[in-house]
Amino acid sequence: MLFNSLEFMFFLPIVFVAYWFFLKKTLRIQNLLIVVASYYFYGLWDWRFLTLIFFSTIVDYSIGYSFDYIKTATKRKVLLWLSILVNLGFLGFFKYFNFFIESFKETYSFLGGNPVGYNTLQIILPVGISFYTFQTLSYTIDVYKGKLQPTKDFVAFAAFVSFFPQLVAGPIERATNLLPQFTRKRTFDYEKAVDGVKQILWGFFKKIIIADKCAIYANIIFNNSEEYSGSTLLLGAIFFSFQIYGDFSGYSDIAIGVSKLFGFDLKKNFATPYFSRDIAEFWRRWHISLSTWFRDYLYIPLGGSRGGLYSKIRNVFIIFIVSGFWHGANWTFVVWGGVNALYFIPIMLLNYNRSNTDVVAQNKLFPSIKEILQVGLTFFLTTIAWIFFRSETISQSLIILKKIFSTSLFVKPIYDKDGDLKLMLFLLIFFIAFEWMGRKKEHVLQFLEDSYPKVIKYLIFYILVFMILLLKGKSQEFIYFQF
Amino acid sequence: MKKFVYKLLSNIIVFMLLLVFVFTGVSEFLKVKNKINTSLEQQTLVMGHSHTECAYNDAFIINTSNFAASGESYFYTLQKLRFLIENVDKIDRVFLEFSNNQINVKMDDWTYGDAYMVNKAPGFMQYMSVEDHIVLGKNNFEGYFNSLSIYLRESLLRIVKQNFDYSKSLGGYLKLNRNITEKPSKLEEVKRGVSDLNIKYLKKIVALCHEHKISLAFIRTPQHIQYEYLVNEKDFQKIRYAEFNDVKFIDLNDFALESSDFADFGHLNEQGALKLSEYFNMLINNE
Repeated sequence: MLFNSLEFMFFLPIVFVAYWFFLKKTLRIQNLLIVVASYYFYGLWDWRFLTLIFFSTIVDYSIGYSFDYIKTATKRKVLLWLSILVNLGFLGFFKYFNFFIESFKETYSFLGGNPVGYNTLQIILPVGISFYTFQTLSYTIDVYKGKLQPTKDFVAFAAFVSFFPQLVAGPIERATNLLPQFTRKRTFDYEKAVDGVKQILWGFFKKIIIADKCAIYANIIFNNSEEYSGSTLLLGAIFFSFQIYGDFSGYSDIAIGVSKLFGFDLKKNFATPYFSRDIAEFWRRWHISLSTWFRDYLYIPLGGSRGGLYSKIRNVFIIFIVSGFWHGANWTFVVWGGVNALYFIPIMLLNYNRSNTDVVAQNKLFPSIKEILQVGLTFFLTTIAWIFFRSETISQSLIILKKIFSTSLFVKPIYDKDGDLKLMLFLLIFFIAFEWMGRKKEHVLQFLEDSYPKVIKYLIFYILVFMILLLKGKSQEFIYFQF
Repeated sequence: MKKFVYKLLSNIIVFMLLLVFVFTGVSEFLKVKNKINTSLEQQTLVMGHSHTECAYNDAFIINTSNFAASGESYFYTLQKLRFLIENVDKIDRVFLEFSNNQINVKMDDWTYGDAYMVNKAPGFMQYMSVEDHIVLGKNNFEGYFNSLSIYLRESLLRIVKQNFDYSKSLGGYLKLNRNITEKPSKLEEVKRGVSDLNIKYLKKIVALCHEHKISLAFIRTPQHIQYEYLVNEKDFQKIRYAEFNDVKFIDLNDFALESSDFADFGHLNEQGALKLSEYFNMLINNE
């Protein structure tokens, strides 16, 4: 089920009413409702893959449970590896099997061999597998490390694994943050629910108005990249930058907002990343739940930024390349990760990676010239990297980059579909202005709470809803579903 | 919690009322402002779907305008006719396509299928009755919602740009240059079944013409002998006699044409259209 679908418009109020009006007295029944609703939410896409979620739930619940009784270090380690193997095994098979076969065949042919008999399979990628796999893994690892007590409540654990607002595209929640919320009595918090609705509204605006509209331009330009000049291709890459941000952060906002309606607090996943002054800051603000997951479960165990120059550089490359590979089974994602590592390493070596930890223009309305230049350069670098992310092949990315870094960059961009480009630019300016105003907040629309009269606030909310209804096109899937 | 639900619902209701207000205001305003360029006193209209659109070159038919459009089911023809009756000085006669594929169940898709509805409905929303809105909304709520959104967006844009020429929304003769003998057309899979909805709206058109004392005749534009929808000829004739026996039927299906006069099995090309239009002019103006 998509958040931006008609089904969800009926699904959400029904679950909300049942949750708060009929089942609020029993926590266990409320959790059970969440499990049933979540399985229904997921099953509408393909019910067969519910078995994967259920199996993963049973495996991690049982292993976590047994950590309470098994004290032998070796046995505990075996159980931990069993959990990792099962979870990553599913992920590896469904997401990467064909990729490895294809890559093996290409390499074998390149070396002069004849790779007969190594065939790819027709595998459907289960939606959200990368997200819930990482979420359940975090539980097992944290229980193994003693950071979290294993839960005895299977229903609460099943609800934690399948919680529908964040099941298919995150944020990837840590068991230490989310699981205890399933075992605590939840009471309805009016302020939190109202804040949730506002966050949902802004999420829909980002998805429907910014991401889906930018997608029209980005798709046409990228799908016909050979026809366009460097300037038009750069414009296409900029549109894609806004598309992917609007799409993914929009989904996160809706997920966090919906969770608030049910009394849950999810971690912030995006913190206005395009206002970052360097790449390190960008990665602290972009897809925070994934970045911190990799930091805690991969980067730090590898040694992090400790050790010699070689291990520092190696660790940065590993984390970025694995992160790229997590996004998709294609070399383009690996290169995207590698490019970001190349951006990051000089900053790290110069000890500059922690120099921008506050919000840009912290106590000012407008940024300084220096900040504008820093933000502009960081945005340009990320946009260049997104070209690898969006392209079908590495060679397509290289052709686009070659055109962008040629004299055709100075040709007037030719793409303007029915004059809608002006409207799109207006929407982007409107969007950037709002993001700027809300850059210090948990979510953008919270800036209205500061000093604006009630009439203005309502007017803005109504205008946003009106814009969503008026400018919406055909409902598009969220990009991150494929990851 | 009750406070939350109450506030949310009251905001939704206020917003819906505002939306209805904007919709009604825009629709009424456009109804007054929408205009079509026509100076003819006695006007004959040819209406229908793409078969009609490509077959009648109105440059060769005296006092006649072709208002047919591709993919148009009777649901949308009715809305178009409502507009034309309000805006053309005097409509004398209407020749309306009534042919084999128009009784087929695929016309339901032409009325409320996603692709057709978002393409057709926004152009005619201001002329739809409440019942028409319900037909679309009941059968495809999401598509209706998208059409409403497009309608409001485009209407507001037209008001801002002061563009009230409605001619472009009404269709017209479409010249096809291709030839079936050069590039044979692919056969479409014909679904079995009759579109009750399309027949219901055809009856509404008949009633509307009757109400405004407009002479209505059905025409069946020539179809190639291999045209896939000819398989329902028996049902077609049955419906014609049972439901529309009192409406004059001009059957041009047997009009002498070569294969080279067809663009594909359902549509005439420029050469075929010229032959048919000259004949049709003679037929209707020398009666």
